[in-house]
Amino acid sequence: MLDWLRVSVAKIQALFSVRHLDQEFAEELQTHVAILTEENIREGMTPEEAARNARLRLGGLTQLREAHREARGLPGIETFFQDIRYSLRMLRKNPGFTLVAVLTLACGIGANAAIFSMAQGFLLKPLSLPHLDRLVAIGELEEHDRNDTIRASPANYLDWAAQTGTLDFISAFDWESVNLSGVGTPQVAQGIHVSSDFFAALGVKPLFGRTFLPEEDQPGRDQEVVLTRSLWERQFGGDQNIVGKSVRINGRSYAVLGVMNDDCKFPQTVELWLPLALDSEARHNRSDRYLQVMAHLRAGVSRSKAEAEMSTIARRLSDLYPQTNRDWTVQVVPLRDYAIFRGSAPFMMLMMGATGFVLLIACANVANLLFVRATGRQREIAVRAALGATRWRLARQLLSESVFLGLLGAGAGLLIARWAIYLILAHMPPDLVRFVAGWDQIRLDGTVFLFALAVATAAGILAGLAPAFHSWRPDLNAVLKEGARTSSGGRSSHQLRNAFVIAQVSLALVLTVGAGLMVRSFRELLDTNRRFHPETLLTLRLVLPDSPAYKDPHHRAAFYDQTLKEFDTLPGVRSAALVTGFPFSGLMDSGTFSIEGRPPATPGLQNFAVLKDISPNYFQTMGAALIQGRAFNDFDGPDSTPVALISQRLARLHWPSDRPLGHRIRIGQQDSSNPWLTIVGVVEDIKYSWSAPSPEPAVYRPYRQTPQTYMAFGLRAAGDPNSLISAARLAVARVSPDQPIFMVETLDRAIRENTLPIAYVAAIMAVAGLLALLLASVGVYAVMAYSVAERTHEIGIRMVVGAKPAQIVQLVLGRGAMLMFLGFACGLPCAFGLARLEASLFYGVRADDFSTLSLASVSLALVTLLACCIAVRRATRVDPMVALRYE
Amino acid sequence: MTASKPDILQGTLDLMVLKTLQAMGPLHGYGIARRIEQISEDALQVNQGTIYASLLRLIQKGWISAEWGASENNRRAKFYSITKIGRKRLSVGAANWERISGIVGRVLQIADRS
Repeated sequence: MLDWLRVSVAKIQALFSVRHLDQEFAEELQTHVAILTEENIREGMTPEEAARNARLRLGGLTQLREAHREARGLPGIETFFQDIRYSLRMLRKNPGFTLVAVLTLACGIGANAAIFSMAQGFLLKPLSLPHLDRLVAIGELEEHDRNDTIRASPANYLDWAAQTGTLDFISAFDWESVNLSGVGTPQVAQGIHVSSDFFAALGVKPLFGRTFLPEEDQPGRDQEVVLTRSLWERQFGGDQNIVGKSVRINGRSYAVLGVMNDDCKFPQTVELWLPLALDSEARHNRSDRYLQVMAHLRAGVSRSKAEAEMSTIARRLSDLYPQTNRDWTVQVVPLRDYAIFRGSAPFMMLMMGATGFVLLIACANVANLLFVRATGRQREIAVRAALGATRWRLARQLLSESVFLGLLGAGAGLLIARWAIYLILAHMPPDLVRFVAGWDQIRLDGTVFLFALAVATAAGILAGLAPAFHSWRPDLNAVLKEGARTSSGGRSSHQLRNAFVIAQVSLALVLTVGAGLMVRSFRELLDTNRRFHPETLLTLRLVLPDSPAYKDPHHRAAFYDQTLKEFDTLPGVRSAALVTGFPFSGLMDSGTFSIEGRPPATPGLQNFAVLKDISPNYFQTMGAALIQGRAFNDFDGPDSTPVALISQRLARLHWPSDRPLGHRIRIGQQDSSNPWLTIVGVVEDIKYSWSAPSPEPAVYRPYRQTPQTYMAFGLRAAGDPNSLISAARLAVARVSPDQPIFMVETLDRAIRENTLPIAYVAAIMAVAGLLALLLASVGVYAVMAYSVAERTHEIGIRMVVGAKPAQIVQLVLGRGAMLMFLGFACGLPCAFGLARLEASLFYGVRADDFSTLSLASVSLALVTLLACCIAVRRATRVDPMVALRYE
Repeated sequence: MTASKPDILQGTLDLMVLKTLQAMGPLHGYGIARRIEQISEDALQVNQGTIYASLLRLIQKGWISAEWGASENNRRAKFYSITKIGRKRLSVGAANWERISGIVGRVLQIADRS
């Protein structure tokens, strides 16, 4: 126990004074021998005999010293340090080689560490909740339906809570965007209604104040609010005495109970929490599944056990209430999966794959460099082998050198990663950060450090393996006999180096093609809406509060009418229009529709369309054309015939041969209670979602016939749209002083913000592609240059016997071209594979985009050929006389 | 507890070294080896070098300590002395040894009779 500890300490201490301890022990033995010899002489031996006897009785001084040394320290570690010291010496002796190798590895490791820290933020710890592993989300799932939004109806949730034996703090929540007024400018805040167990389930405590009490989620007692720290700081100036004060939410007064720290924000975008007060009607509602439910697994209960229990309860409920619950089961999923920014996993995989490829190219480069050096060191290795070093010892020496290189690369790589993470974080607009779960978790932490170390070690071993293995069987006789002539590596080493070059070229091809496709599709995405001049259109959004004043649709329409009028009179506004959501705004209203007189669509093949409610001058303000019929006008009001405009794409899909004008469509199924809408016109296609393959079919309705509670306004500016912002705010305040507006920005900026995920992926792929191009060309150059150097003698002879420079170029370049060709042959199929993968992830990417494909291939070919040419130039300058003397 | 044969022999040698140091005070390597030979009346002709392995083990465990000093002929020699921990371990070790050798002795006597 303690002895063991003391022995370890002693052994480790001994590592630091090997030489001193060796000397001491030698001296100690000497004294022993001396005393023993004197004794022997006293007993009558001759001096020689005495000394011999003394050494015999002691038992071999050298063996004693060696045994002592081994028992004293930690022999494994000592040789390890020896290897490291030796590696250091070798690396210092070749600073150029070391620099190139370390920089190459640093690029690879740095890129991987940066992407890993991103992936870690997004996928591994999107939430920093104390018991995240024990938290689950629970939702109802209709059998046969693979929908991934998991929700529950209030009555079912209450039954679960009453009957469960495996879950604690089962709690429900429901989103509501609220209008916050009474302090500063009115604001839209993201609120969620939560049951009183919500915070207990999360396991978080407020920064100060308190959270909801059980009786506070009763109707009538729910006028209370808990704020997030960021909202408290932004909107209330970090007022320390906020608790107990009242704020106005949707026009009603709420008392502030407490403030919650931001690091326990769940769900990600929340800004304030309100009690979830279910009235008696909601408590009996089984059919509307709109609540989100989460819970804490009871101690010792696994998720599958909880799911089994919930399924039993669900079966019981479906027996009791077949009308609403038949065919509905329950699923219990980890809250972590649920919180992950949807769709980020495949993007992260794509980027990690790309940087992984970059690292592989870097490894191939370093392996080649090591190879070249290993051939130069054959004699040294042979001598060491001849002196008795075991093969394992030699291979270990070479491997520890490359691992050491890898570790140096990791050091430099972490600096690169730090810089890269800084760039990644700096380009995210601050007002978007809160929408991306895990974004604030992206940083270089211990895990990333360990990851970099692991990657570096793996890279070092990978790069060193082939050269080390090659030195496994040095043919001592051949190498030592070869005299002064530098050996030219041998056949197998040539083949291996060629294989590395081929692998590099093919990996680089895959990456450049992948990067080219991403960049191109991103550019096209931005260009899609160029023709609408998004840079001069100021957009803003508002949500009418859920208050009696706006219950009547007429009042909503009147509010919009008045606001539009105010906007129209602002100086600097050419025209003002409204729409329920601008292109690429992230607001997607789509639904099914039916056509009068046609059979109902078969399930799964429904008529889907984007649904927008617009003001008459929407297309005019956007700059989109009317193709057939008429646009809406001021007479399309609540009392006139319900009308609709359809997009060209929808018209082509459903009326391929005749004119759609005059036909009637209905939102929803044929038997829906929605009114039939008469088609009065066909308009140009507008692409609303960047994740859709092509412009979606669209149906437009006049806003006065269906006034929604949310709306976006667009102000076409004569000059700088941003100069209109404060006037626009004032204009809204003139209509309704408490009405907040949000996302006030040009359409251009809104589009950029909404396409940010693909921008990030495109940028990172582009960097990976450029790195691949650079590393691969360096690799090709290195190998070609070395092969030219190796063949200097041969080239000299060829020139002496009459070869012309052109023939020499052909000789060397031919080999380079051959390698490149093989690399392309291997890389092209993989590049097609990656193109298809990207096409499945991003709708804008086409796997059959041959122009990008060939552009990427040609640029890679040019760069590698250039690398070859630089190497070849040296070959043509060979002076035969010098070359023949060249040793 | 299982101990392989060399462990038992090592342990025995360590115990003898400890006992010698406890009885004689500080001694150098040669002195210890010589002393063990004398007491065992030269029945135990150890390879004197093995003493040093034992001394290293004891030093590492902290049961003995070492100090440079002058030998009887004024030579520089390392003198070993038993530490407080060493004394404690010696008494435990010696008691164990007596118990085990007693048991072994009795068992061997039984074997003799039958």
